[in-house]
Amino acid sequence: MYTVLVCDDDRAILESIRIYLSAEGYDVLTATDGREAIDLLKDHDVHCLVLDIMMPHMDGLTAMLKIRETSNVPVILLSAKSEDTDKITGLSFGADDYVTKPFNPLELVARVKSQVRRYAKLGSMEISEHVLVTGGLELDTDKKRVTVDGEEVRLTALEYQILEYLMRNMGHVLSSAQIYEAVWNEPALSTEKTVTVHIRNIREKIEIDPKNPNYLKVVWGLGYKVDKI
Amino acid sequence: MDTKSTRFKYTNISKAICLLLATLLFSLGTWCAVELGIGSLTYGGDKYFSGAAAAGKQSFTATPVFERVLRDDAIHLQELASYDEAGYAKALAGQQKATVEDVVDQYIARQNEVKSDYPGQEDDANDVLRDEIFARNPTVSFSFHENDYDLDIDLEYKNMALSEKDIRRELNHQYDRWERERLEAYRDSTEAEKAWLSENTSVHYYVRSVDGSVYTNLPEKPTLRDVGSNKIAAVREDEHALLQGIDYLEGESADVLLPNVPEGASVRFWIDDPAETEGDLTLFSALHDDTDDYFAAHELYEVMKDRPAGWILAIMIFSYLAALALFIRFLLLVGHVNTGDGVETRIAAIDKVPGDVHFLVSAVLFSLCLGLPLAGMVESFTDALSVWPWLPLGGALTTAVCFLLLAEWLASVCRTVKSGHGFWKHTLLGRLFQWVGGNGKYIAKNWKDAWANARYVPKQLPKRVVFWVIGYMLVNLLLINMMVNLVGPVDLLLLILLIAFNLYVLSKAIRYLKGLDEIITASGTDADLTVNEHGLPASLRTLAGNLTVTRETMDKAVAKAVQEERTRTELITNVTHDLKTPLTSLINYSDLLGRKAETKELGDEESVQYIGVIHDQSEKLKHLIDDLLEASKVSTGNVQLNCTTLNLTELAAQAIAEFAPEMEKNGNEIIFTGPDGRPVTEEKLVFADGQKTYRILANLLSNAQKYSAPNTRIYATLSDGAPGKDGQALTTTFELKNTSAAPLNITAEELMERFVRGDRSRGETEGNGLGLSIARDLADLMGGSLALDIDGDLFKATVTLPKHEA
Repeated sequence: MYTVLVCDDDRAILESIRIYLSAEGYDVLTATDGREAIDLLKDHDVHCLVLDIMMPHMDGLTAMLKIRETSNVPVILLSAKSEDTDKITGLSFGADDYVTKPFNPLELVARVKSQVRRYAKLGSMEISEHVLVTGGLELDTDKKRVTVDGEEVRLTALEYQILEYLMRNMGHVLSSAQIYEAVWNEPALSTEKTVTVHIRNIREKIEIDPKNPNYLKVVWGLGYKVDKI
Repeated sequence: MDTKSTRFKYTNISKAICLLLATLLFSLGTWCAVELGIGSLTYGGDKYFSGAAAAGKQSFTATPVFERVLRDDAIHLQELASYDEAGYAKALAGQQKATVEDVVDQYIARQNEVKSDYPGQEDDANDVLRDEIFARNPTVSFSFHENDYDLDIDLEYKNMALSEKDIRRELNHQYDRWERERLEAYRDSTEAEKAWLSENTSVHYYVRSVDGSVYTNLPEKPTLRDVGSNKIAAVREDEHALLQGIDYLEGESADVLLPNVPEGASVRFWIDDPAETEGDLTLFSALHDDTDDYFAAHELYEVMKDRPAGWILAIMIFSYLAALALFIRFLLLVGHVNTGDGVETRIAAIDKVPGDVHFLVSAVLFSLCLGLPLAGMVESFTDALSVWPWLPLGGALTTAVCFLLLAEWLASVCRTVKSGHGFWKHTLLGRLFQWVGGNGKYIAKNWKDAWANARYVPKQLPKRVVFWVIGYMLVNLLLINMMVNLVGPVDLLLLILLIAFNLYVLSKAIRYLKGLDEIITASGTDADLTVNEHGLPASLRTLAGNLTVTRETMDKAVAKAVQEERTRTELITNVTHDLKTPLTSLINYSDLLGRKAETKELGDEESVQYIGVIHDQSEKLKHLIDDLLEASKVSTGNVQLNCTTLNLTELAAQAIAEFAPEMEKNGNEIIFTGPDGRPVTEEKLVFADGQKTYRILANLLSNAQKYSAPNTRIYATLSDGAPGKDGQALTTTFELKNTSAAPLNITAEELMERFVRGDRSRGETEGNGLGLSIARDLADLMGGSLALDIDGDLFKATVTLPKHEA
């Protein structure tokens, strides 16, 4: 049984999140401001923290900075601010994920799951040379197996090869033509569409929100990349 | 019209034929005209044209040509007959005495006049005058005109230093010399007459002059019988009246005598000096020989008498008319060229010469060609009758050359006029007038301006500025005027004053201009206006101050506008944030209700349906808020662009891949090609923000996906935009075409407005009408553009982005 602490000043939202997470079998603790959340964290063993940014008394960012002093519990920031800069600020302050309001409750649940799994598994995971890892995404080149947060994802052979190529060149932006030439092993002649369609399929399989990918990112007008998280 | 004939019509050959024929005919006409002229001069117009000459009705001796020769000789002989050297010398001597007396009288009168100029001290004055006169190297001279028998004497009184006696002697001496010269000239002229007659070997003469000397080339004095046996002839009575001293032989009239003279025979007549030689005859005779004028005149007569004057006249008229017609034809043809595609009007190289210059050159050549032979003709006309037969040929040739010159000039005029240049405009004079006219307008305009300026009352500048300017000019004018009129050291002083004054004004003006320049420079820069007002003239100080005020006002306005813009964006941001929180709950709880409904925990069918509507509308509201926020930022330019070099081919493929699955669900197939319909293979590099560009394409693709009619194709085309100056495309365009499911009863402009959707009648659509507005604003921000085109149900969106600059 994992415990999730949800902190939001809006009681309606707080309650709805609680319902969703309880339905998934999590112990849910709730707080309405940052101070309360910090207090609760001291007394409980929490596996994931969902933290609203805009709150009275102590806002989410301040609370997170305090928490990070003592704990590395996964933090999912929740905010009505959808600007890129807000996201970047949040993530660089130590958040593990960022969800904008209004959010799809199922997505939030999926993200919580992902964080909890990774947090729970942390340290127990054996890291071998033939496993390529970024965040919760693991690709075992020996077994030709891909797992996201420990759960296996079924990819077709081409999809697997594309993902492997991208993960081997982690952090590099690869154009469709490059990917095609590497995977299909023949010169690219306007076959980008094939690649883009496959990539879309991969994203749908490994990402929680394919339109907002976490692992397989689109660099518009240049190509695709998988970043080391 | 027959093409062949048209082609030939405008060839150079046809023009040349026209011109050549016209020239030939014109020359022929002139030939005839000269023939007729000579004929009528030989015979007298009435006789010649009536055909009397040809019919042999007029004898040679009755012709004007014969009379002319005869009269010439008679004049020479008369000169000889009136020769009297002794009488002439006597007359000169008589003249001398009177002249010298006259001169001396004048001198005396002058002396008296001088004396009377100094009343009371006459003797002294006279002495002074004499001294002065003698001191100046006095001379005495008088002159006479070479061609005049009158004597003209001029005494240089001013230099007179001689006594009356001296003067008289000197005058006499000079007069003697002049007299000798006169007599020499007289003798010379007589000798010339004699020489002229001796050269005319065919003329036998015997002339006794007034002083009794005899001039003859006969062995002895002829008797009256000699004259009679030689069949004597004489000039007619009326002509004879002109020749003083020539009389008829035995009083018989020429009309009686002349018919007896056979053609070509010798001609004789008497000259009688009634004063001195009563009954004593001075005889001269003109004999027929082949070297003199009589012979030439006779030859001309022989030639001309057989000429058919009527025919020549007819030919002349015909030739001239035909020449004129051909010439007009030539002028009509000239300037037109058949190029094969049609008749064109062309000008020749010579036509570039201004019309009047061309005319002057042509006119000078024309008058030279016409005038020189004409002068020669006149010369030969009076002197050498032997030249006469050549005159028609010379006339014809001269005419031909002149005619060609005229044709050349007229052809040029025709070409100029035909090509629409206008003759007048083409001339230097015309251009000059045009130039003068243009400048006249300019002057008139400036005069008006100057007048208007003069009446302008300055609003800020002091009125005395005008007086300064006028005063400056007046002072300068005064100084220069004084300098010109005065001489010596004052002049130098004025020059220094002038320079100093102008230097002072110049320094003032430069200072003023410097201040003005500073203000202009400051007003043109973005930096804060800092004009150093210190040291500026008062008027400029005001200007600088005003400029600062303007600048400050504008800065304030700009700051205010920026502040307002920021406030507005902040307001929208805050409002949307505040909207988002309740919306989150709305979405979450409607979703929870939906789940309950699915698991039959919740009431009836209708409730389930209502929950669905709430949930869908909440989702829609969420998109609307996001789009509204974005639209607000984009339309105010409040977005950060990270423009880099992008491959639009890749980006379009990526974007299409995002939407293709959704489209396929509706049976829409998207086809992505280049302009040639083939897949795009090359990179299309643009300079843009990747995320924003994707947003533009996504909005368009999303529209296409939402509004396309089911089972239709959607076409995405990537191509180069319009080429720039160097032929390289400056932009790249992405074009998306789809067939609308609903009729597009709206214009492209309206569609671009916010919150407007393609179909007005249907409220139930997924979109909110902000997508196109956002796309357009984003494209604009990146230096590109978005254009919409509606053609029936066909909807076309074209995004243009600037190409990556290599």
